Formats: sequence, C-alpha cells, structure tokens
Amino acid sequence: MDTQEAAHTQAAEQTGMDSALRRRILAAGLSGAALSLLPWLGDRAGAAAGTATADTTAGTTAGSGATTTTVAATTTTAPPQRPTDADLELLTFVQTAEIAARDLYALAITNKVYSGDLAASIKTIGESHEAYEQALSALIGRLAPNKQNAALFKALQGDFAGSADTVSAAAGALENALVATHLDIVSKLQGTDAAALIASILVVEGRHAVVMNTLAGAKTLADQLSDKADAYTSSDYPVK
Amino acid sequence: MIEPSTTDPAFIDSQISRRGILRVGGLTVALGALVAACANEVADKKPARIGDAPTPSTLPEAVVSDAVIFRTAVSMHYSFIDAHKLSKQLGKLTADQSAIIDAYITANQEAIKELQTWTAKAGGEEWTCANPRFDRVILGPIKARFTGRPKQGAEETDVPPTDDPNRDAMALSHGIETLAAATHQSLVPQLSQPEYRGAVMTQGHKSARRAAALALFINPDNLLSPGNVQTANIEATTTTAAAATTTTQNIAQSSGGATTTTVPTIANPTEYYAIPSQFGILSAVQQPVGIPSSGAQFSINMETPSLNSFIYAGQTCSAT
Repeated sequence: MDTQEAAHTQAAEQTGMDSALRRRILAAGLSGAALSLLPWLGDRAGAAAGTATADTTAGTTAGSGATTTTVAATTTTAPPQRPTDADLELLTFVQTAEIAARDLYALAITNKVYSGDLAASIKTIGESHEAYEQALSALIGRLAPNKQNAALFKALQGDFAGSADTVSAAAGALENALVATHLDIVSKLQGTDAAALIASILVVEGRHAVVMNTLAGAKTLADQLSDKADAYTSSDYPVK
Repeated sequence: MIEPSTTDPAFIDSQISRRGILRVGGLTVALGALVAACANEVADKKPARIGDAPTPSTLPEAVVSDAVIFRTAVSMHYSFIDAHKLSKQLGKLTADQSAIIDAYITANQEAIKELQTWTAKAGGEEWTCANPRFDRVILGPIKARFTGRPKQGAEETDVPPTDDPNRDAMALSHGIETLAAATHQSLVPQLSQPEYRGAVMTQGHKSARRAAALALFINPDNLLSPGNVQTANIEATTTTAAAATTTTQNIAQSSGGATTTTVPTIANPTEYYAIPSQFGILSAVQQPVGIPSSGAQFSINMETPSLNSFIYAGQTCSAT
C-alpha cells in the first residue's frame, strides 16, 4: 500500500466514524427535546382539566363554609377589558366635557371669584378634572380629542364669572351633571377598564358636588346631598 | 478468521454502549411520562382506610355571579345600618347628629330595596340580613373598643372603654359611608353587564356624598385633603400643632405621693375631609376607635368585600 492509498483508507474510516457520531448526537438531541417537552405537556394536561369548571362571571371561585346547597351557576361570557369602538365614542365625549369643566374652574380662578385657601381648594378641584381628562386620554389612546367641548363651555361660562355664591351654585350643578353623565356612560360601557375608571371619577365628583352645594349656601342635609341633574349628551353638546 | 477492526464503522454501530443504554432508557421514560400525562385521570373512589373516620363533606362550588355580587352589596348595606345603629346606641349623639345618622339609616334601607330588585333581575334570591363576616371581623371588635372588654388570648391588659364615644361614633359613621362608596366602586369591574355597573354606582355616588357631608359636619373647614392641595402646587397655609403630653410624672416627688395623670389625648387626631383624594380609592378604610394609648388610637382596617365575604348562591341567613 502506498502512501496515497493509506490516506484514502484513513479518510474513509474517518467519514464512517463522523457519521456514527452525528447519529448519536441527533439521538441524544431528540431525547433531550422529548424530556424538555414533558413539563409543557403536563401543564397543558392540567390546564385542560381546569377550564372545564371555569364558567363564572369573573372567572373566580372560592369555598365558603356557610353554604348549604349547591346551585347551578349561570354561564356568562366575560366582558372585554379594553374599550370597544362604541366605548371609545362615549369616552371621547366625556373627555371633552372634563376639559370644559377644567376650563370653567380656571375661568373662576382667573376672575378671582374666590380668595385665600378657598381659592386654592377650588383650583385643586379644577385640576382634578384635568387629571380625569388625562386618564381618559390615556385610555382612549391616539383617538383622544384632547380638546374642550366648546358648546358646553360656551353654555356655562357666564355662570362662572359672577359672585362666589353664583359660581358655587353653577359648579355644584356642573358636578351633578357630570355625575349623571358618568352614570349614564358606565351603564353603557362594555370594557371593564373604562367602567372602573369612570366609577373612580364619579364617586369623587359626587363629593365635589356636596362641597360646591355647601359653599353655595345649602342649609339642610338634603340640599347638601342634592344630586338632581340631567346628563350631558353628545347631541346637546357635540364634539367638533 | 479475520478479527474486525475496532475502528470499523459497522463494528461501532453494532456495539451496545453505556451511552446507548442511557439514551434508550431516557427515551422510554420520556414516552412513558407522555402517555401517562395524556391518559384519563382515574381517581380511587374508595381508598383504603384504617379506623372509623367520618366521611368528609364536600364543599359546594362557590361561583361569583352577578347575583352573588348584588346579594353581597345588599348584605353590606344591612351591616352599614348596624354600624350606624351602633353609633346611635353608644355614641351619646346630639339631636343634630342623631338626625343625620337617622337619615343615613333610611338612605341605606332605600339602597337595599333597590339592590334587591337587581338581585332578582340577575337571577338571585333576596338576602335579608347583614354580612356575617363583616359583622364578626369588623363590627364586633369596633363595639368592643366602645364598651371595653376583658383581655383575650395573648393580650396583656383588658381593653378599656373609649374615652370619647361621640368622637368615635361620628368617625365610625363617616368611615362606614366611605367604605360603602368604595364597596360599590370595587364591584364595577366584577359585574358582567353594563346596566348592573350603573346600578351599583347609583348607590356608590350617594354613599360618597353622605361621607362628604358628614366630614363637613364634623369639621366644616375640611374641604380637601391638604395632601391633594399641596400636590396641586397651590400655596396653602399649613398649620402645625404641637403634640400634647399624655402623662405628667413628678419625678421629684417623694415616694408615696400621687402621680398626676392627665386625660389621654391623641397626638395627631385623624381628620376627615369631604374630598380626601383625586380619584376614588379602594384601599382599606382605616377606622380609629377607642381610648388613645401613647398618643394614638387603635385602628381597624375596613375592606371592601371579596371572596371570603361574598354571599354565594345557596347561602342563607338562617345558616349564618
């Protein structure tokens, strides 16, 4: 055997060994992959068993010691979390109304209707409306109008330029109307995120109304708690 | 006969190596586990048992439905009425204060009436008594701080009765209406239908208004929480009150002489504001009650209802 033939034989043997090694590596890889898939398959099997009983409204169940009988649960579809297209229309309108409210309070401050600590409190209430419109803007996203409802502002601006009593009464009426508007909207919104935000706004606007009613000279508890107002609507105050 | 070379590829493939055995074993275990995971679960209905043990009762499935949420809201309003009645019973209220609390009891009764109709609409049965967990965990301990009680468990001393029942009663009624507003707010994202959310918030804003009016009745100057005003970057006047000393001890006095003890006072009394925050908050309402100790009052956290205080379908007032 000459040197060239020996080199060929060695090369052939080397190729055979490489092929066997490749097969072993492939087999080991496949075994590893199969083992690594086990936990995932196990989870899937567990999840499949769990979803069979998840027919609750909010997807939660808990034990209770006081229950005595089992009643078949009503199966309901979970509401969406994010605002739907119809929700966005409602939220858009209410954002413009909140900006108008902010601007009306700013008008009262500019006109120096209140003074001292009371002025600071009234300004803070106005800035709360700014916080509401900003929160709504974040929820609506890039479709948010981020502008004042000019029709609403124009309709009320005269009431926010008089005496402290007049302005307080007008502000009380404004807050009550905003609560009514939010109540109307929360009864229509499909998305739970938007409903939760509106709920957190309207409870505080109810408190604003009590403060403004009191500043306007409410003499009785019933006057302080008065919540009579009609909701603002986009047909009365269109967003332009 | 020619011995095969150990470097022959055919020889290498046919050899049973340790690695090969491990590989085949691993594959067998993997496939076995896979088959086991996909197999039907068969539970042993009658496991072996030693001795005479009672058969454990199976807890019924507790489902949170819209009706359950309305029943819970109703139960909370019954508890709120109980709390207001506690204020009237133990708070030594003035005529004006009594009139307000009476009006709040009536308002809560009206809320119950309205919420019962929504319970029926959501397919639930009426609930006609207080929330058992709230009464046990919150109202019971609050009442004990009004009246005093003997020490329990690891407590070192008896709980003394409150030094100012009127202060605590008004604070309790204010805290209860604040909690009522937070309760309704917390239920909104848990309800499936928009009209149901509107129904709870109709009660929520009324409770918030009652809390605001009571805060102004307790202190007419407390319109807004100073924290909010400062956050809003407005020049507000801030007053700082010096902390009062609670006990005076004459250390120069000879032994046997009496130590002068003043009435315990609260270093930083809790203030209640008509507008305590910019958005409605869902954190626990911290309710101060009872005689102050070291300048501070005992405080109990009142929380909005959750899974352990819901009134589930099948639960009855007689069983609680």
